[in-house]
Amino acid sequence: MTEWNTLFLTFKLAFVTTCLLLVIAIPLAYWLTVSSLKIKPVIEAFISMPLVLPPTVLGFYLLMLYSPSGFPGRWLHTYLGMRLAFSFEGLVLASVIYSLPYIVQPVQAGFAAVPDNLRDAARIMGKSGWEILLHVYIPTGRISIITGSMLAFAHTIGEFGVVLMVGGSIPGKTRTASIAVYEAVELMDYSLANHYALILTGSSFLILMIVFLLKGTNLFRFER
Amino acid sequence: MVLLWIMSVCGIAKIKNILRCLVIVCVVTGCKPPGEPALIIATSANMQFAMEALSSGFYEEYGIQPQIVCGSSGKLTAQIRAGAPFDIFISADMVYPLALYKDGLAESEPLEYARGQLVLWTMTEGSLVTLDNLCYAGTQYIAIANPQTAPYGKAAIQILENYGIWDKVESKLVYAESISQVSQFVLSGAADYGFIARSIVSSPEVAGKGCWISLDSTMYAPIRQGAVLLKKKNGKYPDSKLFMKFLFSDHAGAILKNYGYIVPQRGEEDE
Amino acid sequence: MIRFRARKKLNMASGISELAAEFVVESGQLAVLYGRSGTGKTSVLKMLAGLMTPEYGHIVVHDNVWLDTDKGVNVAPADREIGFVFQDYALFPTMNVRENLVFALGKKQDRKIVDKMIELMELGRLQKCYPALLSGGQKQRVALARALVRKPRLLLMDEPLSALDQEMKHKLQYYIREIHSLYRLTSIMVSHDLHEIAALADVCIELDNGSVCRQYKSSEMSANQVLFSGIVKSVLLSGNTAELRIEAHKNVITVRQSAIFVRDIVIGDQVCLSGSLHQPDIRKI
Repeated sequence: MTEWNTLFLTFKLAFVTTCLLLVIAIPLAYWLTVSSLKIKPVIEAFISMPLVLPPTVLGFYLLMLYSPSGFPGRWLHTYLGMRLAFSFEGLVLASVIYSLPYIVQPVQAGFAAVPDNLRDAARIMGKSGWEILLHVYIPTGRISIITGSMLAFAHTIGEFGVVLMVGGSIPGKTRTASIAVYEAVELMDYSLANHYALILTGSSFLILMIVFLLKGTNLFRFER
Repeated sequence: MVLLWIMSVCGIAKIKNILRCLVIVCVVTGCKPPGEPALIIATSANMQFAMEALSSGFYEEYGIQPQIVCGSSGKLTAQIRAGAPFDIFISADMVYPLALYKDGLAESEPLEYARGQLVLWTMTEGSLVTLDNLCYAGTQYIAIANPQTAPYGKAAIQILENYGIWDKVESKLVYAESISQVSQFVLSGAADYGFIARSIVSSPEVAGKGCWISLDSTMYAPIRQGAVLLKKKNGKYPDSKLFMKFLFSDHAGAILKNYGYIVPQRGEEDE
Repeated sequence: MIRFRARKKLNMASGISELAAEFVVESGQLAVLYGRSGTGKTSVLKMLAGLMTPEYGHIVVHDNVWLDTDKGVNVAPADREIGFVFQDYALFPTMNVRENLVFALGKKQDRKIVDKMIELMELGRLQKCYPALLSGGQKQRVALARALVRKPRLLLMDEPLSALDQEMKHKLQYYIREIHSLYRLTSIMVSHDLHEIAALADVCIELDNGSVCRQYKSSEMSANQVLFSGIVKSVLLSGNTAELRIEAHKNVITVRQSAIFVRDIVIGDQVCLSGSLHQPDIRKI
């Protein structure tokens, strides 16, 4: 059934995006927490732009960026044979940019709550920045990492404006559930729209509930 | 002055009170726009540029400036069904306005005001624009308007099937939300080719960009574009009727022809 | 031998003040740094550790130059062979006791030292416990063990026992003394407890207004040299001993003396302490 294809595509997009975001956002949040460079506020502002920018603006810029007649698009097309518009990879890149602040901010807040003297102690022990991140900050800030990735995941599922601008609504590749709902409503196929909407709402709720349940259990406590 | 009076009446000393009063004032004044409500015309995306010209022409003759709302015919139909406050619906086909008439949402049967023409458009320089190009490996993306909601999209599919190249190009198709988004995709270069309305490539805003060819109109069902007057609760249609009259005048006909539409002879019977 | 000289502007609650301290500690000595709050004692420790860089500084430890701002030498904390015991322990909450110690090891170090430390600090039963479950005294023993697994040349302690009760303090003072002599460490400790200072210090260094105003061997303490003056905050009697807590310049110092000598002293009295650290004279002003 095409519905399941569409839903699978939507969750696949959210999953791939979240995995990429974890790799990018955790070191980034750590750097933002420990760095005192003057350029920090500029970078923080950039990262946070998708929070306030209309998704269609982001979609517009991405369309220009992806286009083979523009600079990055032409380079990608010539050297890597890649065209990002209307592709799943293009959507992933768009989603990573769009959902970045939703994971960086909670993780940064979680890392900032780690006492400074833990880092001092680790530095005296000769641990490098990466070791400190891996062994001290990530375990101590694990709740915020989970919260951030859940937020990014849910946010990507709900993405619409950007996907509309650069997706091209290709079934199985770029027609995500939010686009499918929109099209179903346009066609006045309300029962189909309802199908998608119910599944999306239900799964989002389930994800969030699991997170909050886990937070309360001993799985995440170090009190054994 | 009124604002100050209200503020003094409220006995303002604190900012909270000021804000509260400001909100009340804005809401009250915002609710009543001055003058008569404007004429709202819902237009299918392909007519976007032509409609601007028509609305200037209408203003010249009658001094009334209509408000234009653009979108794909299917979306506009859904909005009208949901109670959108449009006065006139200018569609890209006859099917949508007919459906509205059958549902009792239109004053009278739809009338054909123009016949649309489908063209193939590209920004890639150099090569001749032909349908065969679509089959080449170098052509990766072909943009068409969503056939489920846009008549030009349906026509594009008919062309591809009738020329026997549907199987080869189906995987390359990219579905735009409306004809306007097709032009977005083609203009930005994201799509290599696009099936678009002749009216768009003929418009001054887009003319001269890229290359296009007219497609054999016998290879797709004629895009008969219908206009319909939408029912209003109060039964008053003075401006709308005026516009419909204008739409079928020679003045409007000339404008439409300029934009590449085929205009039926005035007085022709529709089926 | 440790030679310390540094100048740095410090941002304190009381305003911007300058730290300009200079002192020497011989190898094998346990020096205690004391003085008012805000005079930069913790900053001195941080500069020794390499966690803070002064505007001007010259630090030489056991003939190694750790800091020379004139020549641009600034050895990283990791290369300074230091053990640091923090006031709030700084144990990694997501690692158990054993893991905390193992994490502190150097790359090529043998794990046997961890077992030795655990045995020495009597942490055997607690190895698999997480810091959240440990008492203050247990945490501090772990912190001490962790500071020592790398066999540092210099042990720095920032008020390590201030959060503990009297009994715990005694026990840990014992551990510190044992380790200090066993490993022939050189240590610098910040403390406010006169008895602790008395029990542990070989050398006392007093900081006032950001500079060292006095440095003396505890054995050289003579009578009539005023150590502190302040206001009595509490008097606790237990048997023949009275424990007084005296607030001196925002520091609260705990002193114990025979009840007889302090029977006319009540809360709110302004007193001054002089004489030896072990048996200070407490007199009402």
